[in-house]
Amino acid sequence: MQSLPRFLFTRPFGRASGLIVSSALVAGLVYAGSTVLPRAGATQPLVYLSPDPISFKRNSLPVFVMQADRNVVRHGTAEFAPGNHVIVDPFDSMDGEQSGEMEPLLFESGLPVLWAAMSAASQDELNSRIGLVQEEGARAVNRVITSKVFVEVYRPRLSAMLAQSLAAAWEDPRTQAISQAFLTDSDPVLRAFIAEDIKEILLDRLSATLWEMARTNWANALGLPLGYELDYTPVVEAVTGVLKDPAIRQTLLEFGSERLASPEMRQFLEHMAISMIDGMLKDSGFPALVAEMTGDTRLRDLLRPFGEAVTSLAGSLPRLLGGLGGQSSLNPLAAHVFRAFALGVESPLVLYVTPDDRRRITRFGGQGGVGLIPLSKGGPA
Amino acid sequence: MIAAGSLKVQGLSITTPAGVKLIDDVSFEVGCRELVLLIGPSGSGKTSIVNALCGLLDTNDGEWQVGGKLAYGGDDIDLAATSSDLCGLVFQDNALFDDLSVEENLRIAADHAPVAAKERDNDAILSLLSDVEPDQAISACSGGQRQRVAIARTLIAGRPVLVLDEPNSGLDIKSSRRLAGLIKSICTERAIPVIIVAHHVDDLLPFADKVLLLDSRSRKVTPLEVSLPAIEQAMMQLDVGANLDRFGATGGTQTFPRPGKRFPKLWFARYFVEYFWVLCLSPYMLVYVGVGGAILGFVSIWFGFNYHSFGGYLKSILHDETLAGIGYVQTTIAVPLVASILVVARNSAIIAADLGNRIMSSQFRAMRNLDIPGLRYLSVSIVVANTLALALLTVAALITASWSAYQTWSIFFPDQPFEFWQENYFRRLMEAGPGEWAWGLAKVILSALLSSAAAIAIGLRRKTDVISVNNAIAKAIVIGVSLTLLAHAFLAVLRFRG
Repeated sequence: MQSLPRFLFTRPFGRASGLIVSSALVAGLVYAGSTVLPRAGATQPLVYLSPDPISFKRNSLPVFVMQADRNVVRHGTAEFAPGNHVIVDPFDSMDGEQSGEMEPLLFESGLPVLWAAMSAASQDELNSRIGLVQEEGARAVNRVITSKVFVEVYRPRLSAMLAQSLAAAWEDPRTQAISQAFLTDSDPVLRAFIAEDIKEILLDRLSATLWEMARTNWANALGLPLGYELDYTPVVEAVTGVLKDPAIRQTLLEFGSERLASPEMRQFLEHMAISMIDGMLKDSGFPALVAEMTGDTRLRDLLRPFGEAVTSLAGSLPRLLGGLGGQSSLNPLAAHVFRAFALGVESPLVLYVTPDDRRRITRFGGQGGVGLIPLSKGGPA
Repeated sequence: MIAAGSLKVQGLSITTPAGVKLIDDVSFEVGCRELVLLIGPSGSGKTSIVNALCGLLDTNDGEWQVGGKLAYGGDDIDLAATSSDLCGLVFQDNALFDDLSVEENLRIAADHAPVAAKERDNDAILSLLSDVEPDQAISACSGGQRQRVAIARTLIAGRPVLVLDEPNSGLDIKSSRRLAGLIKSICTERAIPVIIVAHHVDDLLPFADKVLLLDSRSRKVTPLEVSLPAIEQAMMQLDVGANLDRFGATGGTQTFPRPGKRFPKLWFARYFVEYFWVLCLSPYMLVYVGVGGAILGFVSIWFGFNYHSFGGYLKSILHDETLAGIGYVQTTIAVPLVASILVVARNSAIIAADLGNRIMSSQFRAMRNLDIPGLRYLSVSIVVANTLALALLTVAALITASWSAYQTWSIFFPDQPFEFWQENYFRRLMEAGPGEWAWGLAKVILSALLSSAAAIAIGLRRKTDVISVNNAIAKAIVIGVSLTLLAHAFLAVLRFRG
């Protein structure tokens, strides 16, 4: 400072130079303010028509663009208008980025849109991890049901539940109705045989089948309360086994083999078996028994590989579905979807995709989003 | 020429707020064209007599007991009931307004002078300053120049009696003699009574018509013979100078614009502009607040996204809500608070220092003597300028904080559009609506008013030396910032209660 001429810092030059510097600073602030503070957009809106009726209560929604590399960026905002119109208002800075070939899809926030936006590599990895969990689950079930602890402690209790369930299934009015339908004019000896001996054989066969059921259905066991349909193939095979049982064959031959092969008989047995399994699963003691097994330290080591596979799958889901992770960058689509999950709110969105992606995504059917039909620029007609 | 006549002081008594009687029943007379020296030992009360004659007794010290009458040119003033406005005082330290130029020092006095004084020909007065540039800063004037500017300012103010408090203190012999000759010529040419309070009378005595001795023992004023032996007999160590010449006869050629009649309120605008510049628009202030806002914007985004326990998930899954939260806190709490602290700290220091120095250099007393409503001009200017400054600088800090926040955010998310940041950063503020802005404005206004009032009150207290000014500055910063914190906390609690 001292090397500069003194007059630079004295009046009137000092004040004048200060005024010039301050004016420049104020001009810079005004310019920065005009660029950074919110103001009205200058781009023209794009108007689309939804082929399906719009039933969302929420009026405004975000718009995203999924680029060819499946990188997603925010593109603007949109709102619903009467007549199933969707008016998209692109961000000013994104006006030129949206390719005319891109096509908008209207989604409800959910896993389908995240799956659609996943890269092919991520989808492959997720499939691989799910397959690994299934395999480990099957192995774990096998290890458990063949273990000494299970055979000695839990299997008898499960068998007892199954027996109770069989008795309940036999007494079930629908079972009685089916049996009456094809045994009405049967010999009393045959009816007694079916009522007594076949029950024993069915129980014996289904006890063994139960574990096969567990193997087949383990992965969806958690979905039972949500209405998941069990795979009864092992039960059907067990019924076939019952009908091929030598003791039954011998008895039934005495009444004519045509009765043995009748569809009614098979339907009756299948109904019995399925009612048995359902009854056991609905038994109030069953969840407690499963919880006890889960907490049993003697079984824990047998389940560990499966637990690790599940943990690994769960840990990879945010990364695979949303590109999220410890040092990951922003996936605004995933952030939006997860926010909707967390808040439990309806949250539709518009996603622009390339025609190739559009074809890939619409293979998902109804969950592949609703394609919006372009109308015009400048507002709804 | 002004109205001729004698200044008559009758029965003047002065008792200090502490109860000490300085003078008792003093009477004397000073004729027009008379130059009277008032001498006496230190602490005898000479300055108190001057202050009483000029209506400048410092009421901050307490209540002075003044009695007696003052008469001049048809005006009779009962000093027990009314302050005198007859005498214009040239202060010992000149009390020039050092934020104004030489010309402005004269013009402000002229603008507040009585109408009759404004119509007077001031060319002779301005000729005193022939070696001074009109736009020269007071700090650039020599001691003699300052004395002459102070005398010229007092004369322009149009007071019928001129009083000078030790005008030759600090001057060398040559300057002192020139000054004495100058005063005498003014006294003669303008036909006014002049009273000079002095310790060193040797340079002044040749021009004196009377010498009055204030006897601290009898508390009376005694006329002395205008002769050195008589004064030597009454006072010790008196010396007499000689060969005085009239100052200015060979002066420079500078000419001052004649201070014509102007609207006095313009001086309020003048002071407002001065304070608004210093408190708001100076480059240092803009850079200071701008950088403060920019650092705040950077820190909140950088550390908000980088050093959270959720780590990278903040940058992805929780991005929108995190940015909205940071933006809301920034725009409604952090930026107004930090801007207020920065501005209040700096401006409280400036206000306290400015007023403290004005107090210490008797500028407010000079303004009172010149009939300038200085306290009103300055305090109103300060409050308005400081409030406006805080509001505008908060907006400036908000701009730089937002700009910096965006730049930092774009480092993390280079592919995302600007509007995506803008939408989330300002989302909650926009959702909150104009009410949120009103709360922010209330914080700023309350902070500015409280801190301004505190700084003015602290600055206007008596200042005896530089240390007392320094202490006032520190006190103004601490109290101003504390009041600001309390104001923000109070309004924030009020805003978010329930």
